[in-house]
Amino acid sequence: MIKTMNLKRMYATDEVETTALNNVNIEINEGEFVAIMGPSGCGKSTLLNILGLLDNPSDGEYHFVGHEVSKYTERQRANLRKANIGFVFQSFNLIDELTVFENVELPLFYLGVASAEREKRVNEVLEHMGVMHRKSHFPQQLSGGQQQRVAVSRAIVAKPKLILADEPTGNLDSAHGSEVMKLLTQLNEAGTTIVMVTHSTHDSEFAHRIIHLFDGHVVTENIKEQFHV
Amino acid sequence: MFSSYLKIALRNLQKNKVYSAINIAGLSVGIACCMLILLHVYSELQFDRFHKNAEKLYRVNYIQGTVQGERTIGRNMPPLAAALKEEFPEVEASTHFLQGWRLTVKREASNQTGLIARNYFFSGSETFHMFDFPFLYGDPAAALKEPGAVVLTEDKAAMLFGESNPVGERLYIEAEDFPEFGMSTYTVTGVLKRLPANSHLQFDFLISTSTLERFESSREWIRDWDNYQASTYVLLQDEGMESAVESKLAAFTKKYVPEEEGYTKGFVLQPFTDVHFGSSDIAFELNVREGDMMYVRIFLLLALFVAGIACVNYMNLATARAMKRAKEVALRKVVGADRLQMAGQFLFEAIVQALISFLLAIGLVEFALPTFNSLAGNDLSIALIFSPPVLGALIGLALLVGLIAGSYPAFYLSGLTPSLILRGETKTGRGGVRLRNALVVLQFVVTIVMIVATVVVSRQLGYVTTKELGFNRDQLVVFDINHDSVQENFINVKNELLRNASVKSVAVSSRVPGDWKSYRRFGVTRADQPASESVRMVFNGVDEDFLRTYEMDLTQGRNFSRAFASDSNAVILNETAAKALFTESPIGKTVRFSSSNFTGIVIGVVRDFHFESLHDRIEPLALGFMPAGGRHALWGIDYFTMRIAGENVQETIDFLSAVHARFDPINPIELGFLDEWWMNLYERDQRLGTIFSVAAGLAILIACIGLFGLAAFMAEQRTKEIGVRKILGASVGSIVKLLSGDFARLILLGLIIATPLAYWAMDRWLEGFAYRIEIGWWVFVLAGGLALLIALLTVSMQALKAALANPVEALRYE
Repeated sequence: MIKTMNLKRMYATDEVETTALNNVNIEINEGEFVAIMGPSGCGKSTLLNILGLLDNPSDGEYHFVGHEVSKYTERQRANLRKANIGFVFQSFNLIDELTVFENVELPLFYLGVASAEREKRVNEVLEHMGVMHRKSHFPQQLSGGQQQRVAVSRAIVAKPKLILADEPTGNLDSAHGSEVMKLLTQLNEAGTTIVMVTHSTHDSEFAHRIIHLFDGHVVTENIKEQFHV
Repeated sequence: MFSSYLKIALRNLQKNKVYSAINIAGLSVGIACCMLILLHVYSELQFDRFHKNAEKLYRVNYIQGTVQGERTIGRNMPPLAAALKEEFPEVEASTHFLQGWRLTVKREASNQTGLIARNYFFSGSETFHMFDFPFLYGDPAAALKEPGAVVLTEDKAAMLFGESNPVGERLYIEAEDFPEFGMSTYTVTGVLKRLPANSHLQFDFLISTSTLERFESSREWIRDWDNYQASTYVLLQDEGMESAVESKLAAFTKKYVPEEEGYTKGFVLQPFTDVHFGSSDIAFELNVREGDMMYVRIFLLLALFVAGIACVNYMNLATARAMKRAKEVALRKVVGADRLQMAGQFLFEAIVQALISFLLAIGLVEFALPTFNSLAGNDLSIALIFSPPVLGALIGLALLVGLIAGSYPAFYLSGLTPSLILRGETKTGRGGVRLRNALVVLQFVVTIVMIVATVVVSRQLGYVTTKELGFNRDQLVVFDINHDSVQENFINVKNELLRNASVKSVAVSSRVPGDWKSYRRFGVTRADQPASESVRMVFNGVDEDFLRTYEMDLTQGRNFSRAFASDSNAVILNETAAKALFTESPIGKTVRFSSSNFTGIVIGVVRDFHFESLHDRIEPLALGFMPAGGRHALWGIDYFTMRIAGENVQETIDFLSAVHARFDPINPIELGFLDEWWMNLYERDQRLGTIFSVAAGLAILIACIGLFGLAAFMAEQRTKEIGVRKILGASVGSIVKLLSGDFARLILLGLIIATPLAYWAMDRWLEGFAYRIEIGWWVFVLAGGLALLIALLTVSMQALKAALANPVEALRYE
């Protein structure tokens, strides 16, 4: 599903050029649950942004569901992204001006799903995530755990093939954190590919495979025994 | 999609009440100004166009040529209208508006007083076929057919008959100069609705021209091809026949108009719809409120400025708020929105705000309309807004303002890159800041130009009101002579007036300095000069007390005196006239007045004094001595001027009125203070001054609304910086300085750009005055200082609030 070849990402300011990613070659298959780990500034988030089609690499190739996308325009990336990828962030990133229902509805809205169908699917997801009773609330009226459930609802409502999670438990206490990890595992078991950036060794235990990044390089890949293709 | 955008737009409005209020207030004021101005411009451009046949109507102007050149004259001969129709198959109908003499109109013969009428015309039977003045009562087709028919306007009908329908009622009309006229019978045949203000034809009533066939003397008068009292109009069969008619006018003139030595004569057609704006070079024309394209342009420019400033405010606030909206943009993009959709959303928000502002603006317009009407000399009504084409155009305007105001934020915000924002790099680009600064500078350029314009206009007006005129204009009271017995007995009237100790002196004259009525001018030559070298001179007939009453100085010779019988043809010249005719002393010299048999002997020279507005240079002037009986060979008297004491003014005026009533029992006294008359000469300039000051006020207001919002955001954005600086020991004062300093720099830049612009524009305006002030450098310092002061007051409030905040609060957010 995902294959990168010699992926590079440079950031240039007026005086300095920083290399955030250098010759990253990874391959992730459909149905995998992969954790990306590494110290601060190693390029985890940059990699996730490129994998999530939010950013283009400076050099190298990126094949996503069979398309070479490294030279795609913003518009092409947006089209591919909205149909295939869901995001979960550490800081939830819900839109404060929108209600829970409207936040979750948003991806379907931009996919052009009809209003009646949107309502049905959003309600199903909210029901499934146990936040149905909060659907008319605004994000700031919810607890952190509830906000992350809404964020996960938003990520999965369009039934994406891939979910990218950027430290999904980073802002949560351990009880709520475990809940979110359980949710992600269930989604993975149902067939969704998951790529998760994390600092937490505990969370990385849930993944089938761990990619370690250091200074923009892939250093090791641990393949867990329990992973069956 | 729209319902979702609308929901978010409204929710954002609600959530950010202060900023929404700032945005909407600024836009409302801007749109309201625009609406007022556009309504005014629309009505100006529609001037005289309410007649169905406006495009086929023409005014016939008379062209008179002499050795000195040609001039176009708006008046010509009473028989012209009928002759044109007879001669030209292209002319479908023709009529004239023929000026008569002073009348007094009454409902009953026995009434002591009546309506004094100057503003009326004799007009032909086809007038209401050609012009669509709406009738309240009566039949337009028949209204001016019969002799004795009178068509009143609504107001005059109400004054005479109250609210009842007066059609068929008899009217009594007296004419002092034409007693037979008063013996005849008159009947009201129609009442016109109040004439629209945007009509150049304005009158109190019309009398059928056929009335003049009743009397022998007027029968001749209306057939006289040497009588120039009529304004003639024709309705052509079709548009574009103008040139066909004009090509035949020379032959027509030859056939009808008697030749006269030294003159060429001709006619020209002027499109009816050009009369309002295109008549500045036409003399003696009927055009009550002559249009001025300069005003239309100034107004349009103002509309553009004000709307521009309002749009700029919106852009500034919206981009300043970009940080707040950045996360929303990023997230919408992450879940699938593309740039176009985001841009659409922001544009939609701007348009929603513009439409809300539009509704508020209609309220503002209704509130401001009376003031605006008196300012612009118009009679616009709010109903005009709701006529479909105007309403459509105004809604279009609101949408346009929304589109323009929303365009930059939409372009800018929709271009934010989600990956950067989500990483926390939400710095708005340098480009955004630069644009914002440029917009603030632009606002202050406009504001400073407006302030300079206001100051210059008011200084020039101050100059013209206080400039030494060559006579003392204070405490001079003037009244008009409306009755023969007052003119004939002017010496008795003077003696009666002087019985009151508060009346220090009394003079009579044909015209008074500062008169709104026109002067008579003659070509004047020395005894040894041919007529072709004549100097055009203004003439004024005065008595021996004129110079003393006005406190004018003689530089040579002596004043008029009744002691010398020979003074009946004595003349006093002003310095300009003396210089124009003589190189040596003019005293005792003979001067000839062309087109009359009058020959004068110069007995004195009066120091130049202003008798027209300071727009004009002092012209050559000749004063003639008024004989007893008040009828000088060149011009009789028309005014009394009294210099009165400063105390008990009301009592003095009552006394003057009582004396007047004894000699003229019919007409009420028409009395005024001369210094006020002088100010009326500058009505146009005063109006311009008021417009500039209002515009300056609005520009400052809208710019400050924007600055206030902008400063609030700057302070908010720099909360962390301010916190750190305070922890490191910065004082409140230094932080206020830091935040205000940026704005001060922008305003100074605005001043530098505005100075040459304002200087150029106002210098051009001042060129319209023959006597003018110079624009001092201090005007620009003042304007810049004022703008700076107001802006800093606005900004420092926000800066102070930020500086006084607890730094720990500021840093806790991190």
